[in-house]
Amino acid sequence: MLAGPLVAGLLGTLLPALGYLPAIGAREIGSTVFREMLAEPGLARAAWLSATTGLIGAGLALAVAMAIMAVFAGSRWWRAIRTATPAFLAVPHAALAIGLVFLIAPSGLLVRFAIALSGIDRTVPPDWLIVNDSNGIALIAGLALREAPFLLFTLIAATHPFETERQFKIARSLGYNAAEVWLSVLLPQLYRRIRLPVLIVIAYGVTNAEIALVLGPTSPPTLTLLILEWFRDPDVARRLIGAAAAAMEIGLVVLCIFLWLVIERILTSWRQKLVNAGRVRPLAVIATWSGRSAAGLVYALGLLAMSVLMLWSVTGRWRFPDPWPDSLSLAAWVRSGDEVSTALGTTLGIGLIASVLALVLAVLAFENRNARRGVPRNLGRKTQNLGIAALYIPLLIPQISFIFGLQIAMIRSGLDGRWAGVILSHLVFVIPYTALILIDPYRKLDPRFARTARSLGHGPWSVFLHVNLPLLARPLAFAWAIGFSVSCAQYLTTLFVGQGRVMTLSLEALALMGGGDRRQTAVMALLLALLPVASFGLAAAIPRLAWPRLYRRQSVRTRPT
Amino acid sequence: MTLVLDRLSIAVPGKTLLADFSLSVPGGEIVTIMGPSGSGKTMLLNYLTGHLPQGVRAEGSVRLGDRRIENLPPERRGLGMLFQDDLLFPHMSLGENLMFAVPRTIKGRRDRRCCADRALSWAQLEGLFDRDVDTLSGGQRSRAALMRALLAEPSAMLLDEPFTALDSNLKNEIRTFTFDHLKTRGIPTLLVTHDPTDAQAAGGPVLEPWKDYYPIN
Repeated sequence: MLAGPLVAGLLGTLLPALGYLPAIGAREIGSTVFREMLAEPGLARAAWLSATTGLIGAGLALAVAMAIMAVFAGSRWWRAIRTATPAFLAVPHAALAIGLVFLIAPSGLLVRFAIALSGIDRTVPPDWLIVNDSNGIALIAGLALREAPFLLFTLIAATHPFETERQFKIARSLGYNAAEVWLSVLLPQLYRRIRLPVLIVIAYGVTNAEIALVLGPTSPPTLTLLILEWFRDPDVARRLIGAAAAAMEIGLVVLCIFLWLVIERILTSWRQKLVNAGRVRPLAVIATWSGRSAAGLVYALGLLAMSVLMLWSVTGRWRFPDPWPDSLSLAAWVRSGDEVSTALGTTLGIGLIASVLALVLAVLAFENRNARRGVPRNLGRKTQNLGIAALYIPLLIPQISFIFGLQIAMIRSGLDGRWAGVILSHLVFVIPYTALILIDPYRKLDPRFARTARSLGHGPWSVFLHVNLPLLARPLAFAWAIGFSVSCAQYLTTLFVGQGRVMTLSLEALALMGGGDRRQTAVMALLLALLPVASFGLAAAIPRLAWPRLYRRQSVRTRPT
Repeated sequence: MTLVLDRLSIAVPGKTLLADFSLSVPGGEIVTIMGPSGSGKTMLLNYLTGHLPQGVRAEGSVRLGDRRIENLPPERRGLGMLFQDDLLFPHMSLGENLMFAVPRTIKGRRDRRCCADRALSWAQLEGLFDRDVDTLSGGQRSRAALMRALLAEPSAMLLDEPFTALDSNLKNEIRTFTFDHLKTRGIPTLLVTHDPTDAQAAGGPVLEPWKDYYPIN
């Protein structure tokens, strides 16, 4: 299911990269295309931009996530942060980036407020290059803003409450304050467990299209966008160059991951040296302050970005320096009503089908594996880990590197421009995320519950329905919501496989963003953000409604999962 | 009814856990199997209940009365289980836990509720039908777990160190309660434990199939 589209996609990109694309009459296999590609002006700069923005953005996101954890874990804000984090990571990249532009651009809300407060008299926006700056600073900020909640979430999920608490108590008794304990004892252990998600964030940061389209530099843009331009070039020969660059981007990701591992080494040993020398306090002080301000900044910017989308979607007239619209109206909603309802229905339909399909497949796989899960620990462990590692592959490979080939494969099988093809391509990403969320809950689920139920005379289906389903209701609902959000956020896959005939909200929003109609863009981006957030709300509510006894409130008592 | 194990052998790669082990447990008798942890007790129970993990090889027949059960799915073997933890389902009330075990031949909410109520009174838990299981005391939970197992009308019971987690004054009480119920119902019972006082209280034959493997113990 996963391997098929992936392999077809990669092959379909690699062959054209070597000069083989019979559809346009190119049949000579060789390195000519690669040489032409390397001679392209702007290529080196684009690759450099991709690498730096991706690495810095991901590093910043990780630092922010760790600082927030070190400062707030166990504090009175912790519950609020824990509750808010999934909602923030649900918002699709495109929607957040668009909201951010409306906020920080020279004509954005923040500048308007600044002008209103300072009383400066001007009627045109300042010509500062805040977004789309050529060094990609806005892009880095967008990446960090989007990925910090994601990494914070994986940190929280990687924590074993019992073990963490014991270590915390011991370390505190040795004379360290809370932030110091987190930095010197707990976070280093947690980092090892979230290393793969960090690598995913790096790979995404280096190769993403959505945030770079909205916030990134334009001439040259990042490598992915440059490739995108080539793929859409009317001159088909340019597409070969695009394919070659797409193949090269895989190498760029590998290089960046390698670089990160080196940086990680250096930072780890530096941190341990500080700890060994008893000098972890300054680091803890920095972490405390940056954690506090970063948490405020991340959540405030996120909320403001969403609010400004809401505001623009109902704005009638809004002249430049005014901090508030002159008039509010639903004109934008009415005017784009047809596109909106079509895109909403398409996004919802594709998202629901893909996420439910992925959930069913994942549950079948886990139930099947659980049924014969062994006590001998070392047995079959290797194959298990291999299976899990395979799940990460689609998340680490640049989308643009197999999307071109995937498009060709879809055209061949007649699935292009159809829901089925788009759903299939979404599943390549939806299934891994769904399954990854479920690995740990299934591992922690006490198999004796199910065995007891079997010994009481219930068959496998009944045991799933009455025992495992309620016990795992939360992670299952959550995995579904993640899958749904991933499908909503898909841009490149829908663009290439849908061939413009399947228009989802993220496609509409990003297309409108290029057009410059703020109101209509805001309508699409707002809906794009609301759908996943709503799915998370649903995922939180369903277990509580269906099994009130188990999920009555977010109690502290030990849960079965 | 009699539970008969006939020439059981269980092996994991590189290690034989049990070889040619035979045993017969008549109704109402409690046979104790003693052995240190890691010796293969759990694997024996896994084989009997049909939960053997992949990679473990096992053979030998298991009979309950005149039925061969070693190839049946777990829910049709008629083997009840008690573990070290009571494993009451946290998402169901005490009463719902019990009703979950009432055989499917008894239909209709009222009849099933009636069975559960009867079990509650045997366990001195009258009136607690709607209680959350995590509001019950340790003793109440243990008694409820036994009742749940008995409600399913098992032909034989397997006890996997069921008293280990209880503190000492509760242990005696629950042990007596459990054994009395099993004996009066004439259920053949296999008790697996490493606690010699469990074996004493059970009052039946005691086997130590792993004694030769662990001469130091």
